[in-house]
Amino acid sequence: MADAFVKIVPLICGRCSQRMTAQREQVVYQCGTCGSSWELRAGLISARPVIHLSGKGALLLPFWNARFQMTCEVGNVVDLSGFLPLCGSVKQPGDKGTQPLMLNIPAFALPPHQAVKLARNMLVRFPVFGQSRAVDKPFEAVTLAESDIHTLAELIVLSAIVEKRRSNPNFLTSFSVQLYDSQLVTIPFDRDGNRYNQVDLNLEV
Amino acid sequence: MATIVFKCPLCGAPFEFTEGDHVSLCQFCGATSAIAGDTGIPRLLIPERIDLNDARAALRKLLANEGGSEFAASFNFKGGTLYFLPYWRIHGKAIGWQWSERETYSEEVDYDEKGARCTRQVKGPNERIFSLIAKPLDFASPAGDFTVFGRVRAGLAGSVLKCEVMDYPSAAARGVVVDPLKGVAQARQEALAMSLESAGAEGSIRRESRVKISSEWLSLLYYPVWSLQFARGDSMYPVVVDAVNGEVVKCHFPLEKERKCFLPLALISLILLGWTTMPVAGVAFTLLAAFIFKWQTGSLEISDIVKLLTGIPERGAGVKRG
Ligand SMILES: [Zn+2]
Ligand SMILES: [Zn+2]
Repeated sequence: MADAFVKIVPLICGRCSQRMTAQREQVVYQCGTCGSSWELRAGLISARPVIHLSGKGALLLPFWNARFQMTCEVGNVVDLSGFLPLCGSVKQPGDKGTQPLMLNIPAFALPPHQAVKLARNMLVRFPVFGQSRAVDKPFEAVTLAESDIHTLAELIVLSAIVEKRRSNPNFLTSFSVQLYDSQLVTIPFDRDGNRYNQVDLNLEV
Repeated sequence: MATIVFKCPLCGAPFEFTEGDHVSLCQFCGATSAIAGDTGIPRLLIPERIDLNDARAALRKLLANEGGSEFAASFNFKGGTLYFLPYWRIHGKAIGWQWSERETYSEEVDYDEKGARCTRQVKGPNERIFSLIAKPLDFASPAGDFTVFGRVRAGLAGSVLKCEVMDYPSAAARGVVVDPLKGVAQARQEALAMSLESAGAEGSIRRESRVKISSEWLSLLYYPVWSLQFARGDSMYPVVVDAVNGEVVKCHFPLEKERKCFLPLALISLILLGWTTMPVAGVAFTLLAAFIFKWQTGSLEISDIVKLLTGIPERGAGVKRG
């Protein structure tokens, strides 16, 4: 009966010992007093570092940022120069060609279809963000746990490879994505009614 | 969605979690607490609401209502045991993709030699569809084969009733905590298969898919049932009573029982006599015995022969559930 117990953990900030509040589906908890971020790991409140990326916009949306490689029937794809032709893109990666592939998976509450679309648009635009010097700024609630990003990552990469995913079932069955060095980042967006937009990337959700 | 009653870790007051939520607020002290999802599988329990006497009374009432008080009185209560049956509950999202290929046909208008108009089917290019699957998952399934307990509606009950975290020593002191026989991997597969079933790939000639469970909220929910024993003469009659709502889930009490000792004995003697005399007589007497059996009982089914030989022929439907 080793797995018989359930652990309920009060949300108390590990830095300033103040109580934290959170929404029902939230998996990362931000202290309203000191701004530090926490999550549950193996039943303990543990620090969760958050990196704020710089850009235009007042609303910080959280994303799981990770490097990735993909495997399919033609072998391993590790950089943009290998990935763009699969997407049927005529864009030239230029000096970004040898850069590792990067995913930004929406970590805030967004229906899966929209999350996939947003992340796909970011993937094919291969944005490069600077890092903001700000720390502990308030951001939107994180509802996607790090342990759940892989399934979504595969869908996002697939959604960028339009022709092959439709016409070639062998490509699909041999397809897989490996993620590395995932981290929680925030990207600034502007809110316009029910929509979020990112001016630098010309993105809208 | 199930509601699970925990104790607030700060003030000890009962507070409720809704299945699928990570965080809940204590109504008493206002503290927010989170449920640790990676420390193991929560074992939850729906506590029994009726005791052994209530279960026994529920059965007596059913017997009296459907068979009359004399019939009810002909069965003696021999005892009962409380069982906690495990059910897997999986809550989350089924996320992945599905690819399917199907043939397409179109109708083409044509004219024959006489100039009469006719249509014919023309095969078009195959249609290939890739679709994203994202569906909410709310799955409950018995963690073993509990058909001996009849149709207990525990999976459904978990969505309506309040569950508590199982206190194993306390539950084991009240009844038998049944171990799950079906693993969680199989339960997950069943849940995913169900989500694919409704994903609409009917009529396809090839289909590929990869679906996984995301935001999973997994628990093992134990549901209480009473297993009672009744006797009439030297026959035992098992009964299963739902220990939450008192419904008799499974029983079979035949109206009357009659033993025909003469017929089986006579038939066996006849066959034995034949075979000990000579093979031809053995074959002839066996055929004769079969004929008498068919004439007497109107059947030559093996199960009926076994019933007759073991002395369990019973007539009348009596009171039956499950
Ligand atoms: Zn704090
Ligand atoms: Zn409390």
